Amino acid sequence: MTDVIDQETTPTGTALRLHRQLSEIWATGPGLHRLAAVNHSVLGVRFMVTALAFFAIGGVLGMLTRVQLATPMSAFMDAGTYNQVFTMHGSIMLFLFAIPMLEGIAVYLTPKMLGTRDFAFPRLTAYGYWCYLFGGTILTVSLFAGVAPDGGWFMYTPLSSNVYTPGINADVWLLGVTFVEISALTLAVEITVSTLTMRAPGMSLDRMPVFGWYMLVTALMMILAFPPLILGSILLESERAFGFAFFDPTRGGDPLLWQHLFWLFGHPDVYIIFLPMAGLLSTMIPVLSGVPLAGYRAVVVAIIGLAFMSFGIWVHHMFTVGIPHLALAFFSAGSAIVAVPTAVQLFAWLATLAHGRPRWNVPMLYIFGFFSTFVIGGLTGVMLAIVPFDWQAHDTYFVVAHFHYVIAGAVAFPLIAGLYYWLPLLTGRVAVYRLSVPAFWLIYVGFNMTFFLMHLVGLLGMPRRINTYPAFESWTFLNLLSSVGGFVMTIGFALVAVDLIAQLRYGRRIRRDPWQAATLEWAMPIPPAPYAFASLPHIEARADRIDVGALAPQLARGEGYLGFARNGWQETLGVHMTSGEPEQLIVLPRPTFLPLWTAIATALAVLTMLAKLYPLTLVMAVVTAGLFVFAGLTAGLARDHGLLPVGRGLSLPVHTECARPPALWALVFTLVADGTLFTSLVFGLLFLWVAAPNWPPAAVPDTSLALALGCILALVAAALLARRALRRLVGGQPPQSFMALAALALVASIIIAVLLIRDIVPHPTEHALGATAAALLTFMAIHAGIGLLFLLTAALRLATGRAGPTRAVDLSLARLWIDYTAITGALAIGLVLALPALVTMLGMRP
Amino acid sequence: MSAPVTRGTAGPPPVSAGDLWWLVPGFALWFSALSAVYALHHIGCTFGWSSGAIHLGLALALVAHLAAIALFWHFEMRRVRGHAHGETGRFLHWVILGTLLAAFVKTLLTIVPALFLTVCL
Amino acid sequence: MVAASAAMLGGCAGPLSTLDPAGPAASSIATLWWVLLTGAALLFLLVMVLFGITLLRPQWARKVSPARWIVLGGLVLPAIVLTPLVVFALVTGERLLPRPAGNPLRIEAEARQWHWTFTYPAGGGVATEGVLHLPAGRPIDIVVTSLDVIHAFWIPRLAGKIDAIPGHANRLRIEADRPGTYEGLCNEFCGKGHSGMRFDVIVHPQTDYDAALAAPDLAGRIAR
Repeated sequence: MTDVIDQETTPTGTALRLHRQLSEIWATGPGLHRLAAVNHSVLGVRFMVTALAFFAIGGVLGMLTRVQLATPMSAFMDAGTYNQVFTMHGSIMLFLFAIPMLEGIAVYLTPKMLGTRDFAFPRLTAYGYWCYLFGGTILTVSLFAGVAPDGGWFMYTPLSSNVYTPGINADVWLLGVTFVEISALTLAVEITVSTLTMRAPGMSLDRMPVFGWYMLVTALMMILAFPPLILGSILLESERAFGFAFFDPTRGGDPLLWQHLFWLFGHPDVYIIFLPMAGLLSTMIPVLSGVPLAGYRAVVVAIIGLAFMSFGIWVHHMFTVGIPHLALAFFSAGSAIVAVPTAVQLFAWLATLAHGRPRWNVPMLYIFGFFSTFVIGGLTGVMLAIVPFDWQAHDTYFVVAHFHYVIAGAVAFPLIAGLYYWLPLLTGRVAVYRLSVPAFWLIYVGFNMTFFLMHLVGLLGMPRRINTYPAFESWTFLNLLSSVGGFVMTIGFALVAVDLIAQLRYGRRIRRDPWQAATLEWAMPIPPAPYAFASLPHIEARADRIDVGALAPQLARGEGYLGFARNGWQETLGVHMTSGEPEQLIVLPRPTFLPLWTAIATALAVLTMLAKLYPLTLVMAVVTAGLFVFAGLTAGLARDHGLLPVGRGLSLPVHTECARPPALWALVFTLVADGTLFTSLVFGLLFLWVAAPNWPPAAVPDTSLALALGCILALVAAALLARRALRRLVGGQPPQSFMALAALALVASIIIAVLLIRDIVPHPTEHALGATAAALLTFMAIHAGIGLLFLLTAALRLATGRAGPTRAVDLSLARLWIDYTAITGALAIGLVLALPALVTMLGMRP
Repeated sequence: MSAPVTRGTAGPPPVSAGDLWWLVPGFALWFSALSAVYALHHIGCTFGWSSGAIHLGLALALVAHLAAIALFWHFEMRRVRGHAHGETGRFLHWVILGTLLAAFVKTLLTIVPALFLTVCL
Repeated sequence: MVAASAAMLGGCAGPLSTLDPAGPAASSIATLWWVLLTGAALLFLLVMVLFGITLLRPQWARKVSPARWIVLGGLVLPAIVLTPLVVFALVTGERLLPRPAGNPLRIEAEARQWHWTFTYPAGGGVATEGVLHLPAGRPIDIVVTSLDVIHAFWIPRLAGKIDAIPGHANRLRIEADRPGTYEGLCNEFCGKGHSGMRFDVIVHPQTDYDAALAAPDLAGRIAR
């Protein structure tokens, strides 16, 4: 069967026909088929709407706390209820609003701005959404069931251990948040791969709009920042469920380990939330000023610097835990210096405004709101970086004021500015604007009234997280004013919601962008069609100086790349990472219910863990794994297609026949995340070794050298056999025997790991040394098991003909995974073998 | 339709995707420096090293990392010699140097103050 | 905001106020705070004025090239401000350290949900609950630990805070200038009783201290 391009498209008068053909291929079906959507526009809107719903819930919870604190000794909520309310306020705002909101923006906007038709793994985007929805639902339902987490949004141990929080409250947080975070991680991998490999042809990295850089850097930060939290949550949940000693100081654990793992995530988290919003500002400010962004290169260096630096200052959340002052100095200086890349961006925006002709409109009003609020938050942040000052201000309302200023400044205001700016794209209508300005002032005045006074009441000694206070503290008036301000602010937010909904209903229809915009997302029909671009542009200059009005009709007529429909495929282009040279024709999966089923299976695994029905969890885990294997079976194309024409005289291979399709990069970045988790685990062991009380344990660790070496040998054998299998496949010979041997080697390694775990001394429930050794070996065993899944998927695809000598990515993935498993497994086993030596060294302490 | 071609128009050869890794060493070295001094100080305090010994260790770690960052500056200058630069190549070069300079300054400013502070308290 | 600032400066007193110091550590930090506030206010004004200029007096704003805006504002300004600030901060921190010289008095503080117990080794192992007795004008090392979850020990008018972590003994140097009564509290969220987990601080004249500890009617004394 030949590949059929449905009718030659000629440059004149075929825009409508092209639109119909592409819409048919890319559209999501009606009714229940909407649950099968994999399209980035549909899912992006879903993410954003769901995030806004959670914002409303989190906002109500915040207002409940303000009602409670408006008067001293209030009987509105008892301590137990209050603790759930404030914990959920923070958790919902950070995990169920801020991160998913930026994900929604990334999913909706990035492909369009980069000139491509969708992200690399549409089914994964859908899976990420469903996991977010289900995880968020679990967390929210717990609130109504009265078992919501109540240990603060950062869940310090030992308060969150099963000794002091015996109910399932903490488990809801640990399992629910981990569920949502894993979905966020999959999206981060997807954003990274897509930004690097799927852009419009000609869009080299220096021609990428700066928003692309922001999203790329943010996604990489997520890949590195979420694993420490995921690890910490797994360890704490194992301690709660099975009694493993990780954080219990009486058994060689340390509560500070949780804090390190949490804040290693937590500090980059706030920059993860900030950077995409800064990206929105870097996109809007130039357009609203009529000039390109000043200092593009400086901004790129600044955000790369900010991303890295944010990983080196987490201890500023721990200045009062008893760490020596000299050690704190590193983090104090670092936290002050992190103001520099932020200032570079701020002054780039000021320079852009200065050299342009800024127009005063509603987005610009919110940008003013951003400047005045974020600068205050940044300044109080530098104050808190000063150690002696932090020793007074830590854990008081001063900190609450600080982070609300930065969040309102850096997230809320840019977000609303962005909503006003981009809603015309999403809806095809412009706002009525009667309510917009009063709504802004209500939010602005209300916000400042609520939170400015908190700086003072914090310095007057009011700690965080108290549910009430006595009248003699002189805090009463300030708290009352804050609460009144909170109501004013809430009315403002409500008015904004009304205003935006009014825009949806009654806004004036538009056909083209209302801003004289300069980026690609406007070079398409408004509202966007499911295929985004009828044909893909070739980029000749930096893609934030696009003549949108001229480009849009050209692309609609099919004058760019892929201006046709072929085989009913959803097609887009893969490009060289740095130069933007088109390299691959990427064919994307069509709508399917599989992501929904997989998310349901995952949710059931989480729920069975919450209910402590662990055998059922195992069943659901197997089902989930099976569904992932099944997804792998249907990926890609059934046969070779060779070079296919993609328009403008160019022909490219299909991605399934390329050596480095997007899936391979996805695995590379997944392994970076996984490696971060492994490194965190190793750090955990070393940290406990030097810092935890009650070391060394009474029982001396003793690992069988023969078994350990045997395990390493099995892993190395598996890696070598997998490589051999890949070489055979590419060379045209059957690889199955080597794949089977590799699988056998992996099974052997798992069996040996189980034996080693069983024999661990001291027992994992008796001392942290045993627990961390068990964790290392379990890590290795799980990865070997996943390696088996990779081999199984590859074998099945070979059997059905979807894989072959020219479509060898499955074995490439398996080989890469097994290599990684062998390396980390060898390190893990080596560390376990070194434990007796580590324990002996402790004896040398004075 | 003209004969299919698999590559775009001629011009400077594309910057290899592997060169993107050069964006990492600067700040990776900074993170390594931070980890090294933090660990050194803790280990020194745990095992009872003298104040002078700890400060010396910190200084050595600092100088080693600064030297390594400077070395990568040299590597980067050497990498682009003889390359047909092109816009993308020039951009990447500028950004790489920017990260190295920023990492150097950050490492210096973050660690130098500690050399004058009391250990272990 | 002006009205709020005026209210701020007027209403600084309070039993837990960090802005009403009664000891050298709290005084140093309060001074530091006023410096920080002044600097922050000036910087905020500067940025808002610059923002205003770009919108209202663009002809002035355009005289500075974009590169200069970024270098001056993004690099030079932070460097000038942050360098002396961090140096000042670290010097202040050094002054607050619990150095062995100075012959500090040692008192042990044990936190548990939701009470404080204080032991006085120099007083022959006397122990009090909910009340801390200190001598005026003398450096004191409070060694803080917890029996269950993480708490924090804080007497805002005397010094900064330190966390009470099970399995760890953290040391905080405090000193009270004058005799009197002060308030302390637990500052780390520790469960349902967190809001009420407070303690009184009674500072005795230095000469009366040992006698007061030995007296049978010592406030908060726990019978052995």
